Amino acid sequence: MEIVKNMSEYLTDQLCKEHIILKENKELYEYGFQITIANIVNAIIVVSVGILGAAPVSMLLFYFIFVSLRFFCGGYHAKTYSKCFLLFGLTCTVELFAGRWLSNMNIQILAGTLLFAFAGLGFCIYKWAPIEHENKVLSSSERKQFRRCSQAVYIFWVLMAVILILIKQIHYIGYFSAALSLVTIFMIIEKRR
Amino acid sequence: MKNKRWLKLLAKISENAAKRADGRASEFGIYQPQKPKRHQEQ
Repeated sequence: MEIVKNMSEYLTDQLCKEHIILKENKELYEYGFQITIANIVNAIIVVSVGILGAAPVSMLLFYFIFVSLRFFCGGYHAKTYSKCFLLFGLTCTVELFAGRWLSNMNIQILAGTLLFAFAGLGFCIYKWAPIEHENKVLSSSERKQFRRCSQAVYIFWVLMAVILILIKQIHYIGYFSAALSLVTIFMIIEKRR
Repeated sequence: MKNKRWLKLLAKISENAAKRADGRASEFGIYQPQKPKRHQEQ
């Protein structure tokens, strides 16, 4: 069932057998393989949804916003890889439809949604970032560092949104708001568990 | 021999992924793999 874990174990065993790595470092390499495989699968999911939904650029924008914020803010994580991929696929689909729906709204509603999304995310970052997971315990210096990073990434996306509006790429604002809202929702779900 | 070269490349990719993961609070995917305990203490 857990194909990612099995593949990582298999690859690490091969490295041990060929004496490329030391047995005591096995866990570290399994961890690295799990991250790599999961990132590849997630990238395939985003690209597939983007191509099937005829919105590859918008999904790419979503990918960059989602990835950069989740890295430093944290949020909900599923218990297994199968649930993770299923939920990520669902997240991408929600982003696609919500972004498209919002993009058809008039500029006042779009601006209001964007402001609301930024305010919600800003509040969550201020209150909780970074949200720690039991599988990755952070030291106090890491917590401080990631908190600063999450605030910097947030400011970067605020500036990007302003630039998008200034260059009249209003079409992407709907996708922008949806991506910010999804990151916020995952943060709230994790805090409410 | 060729196989060993590929495995070395895979080892490097995995090592880099684990190192890069240290520079962030969480994985962006909806699953957070368990960080190795020995590595966590360092």
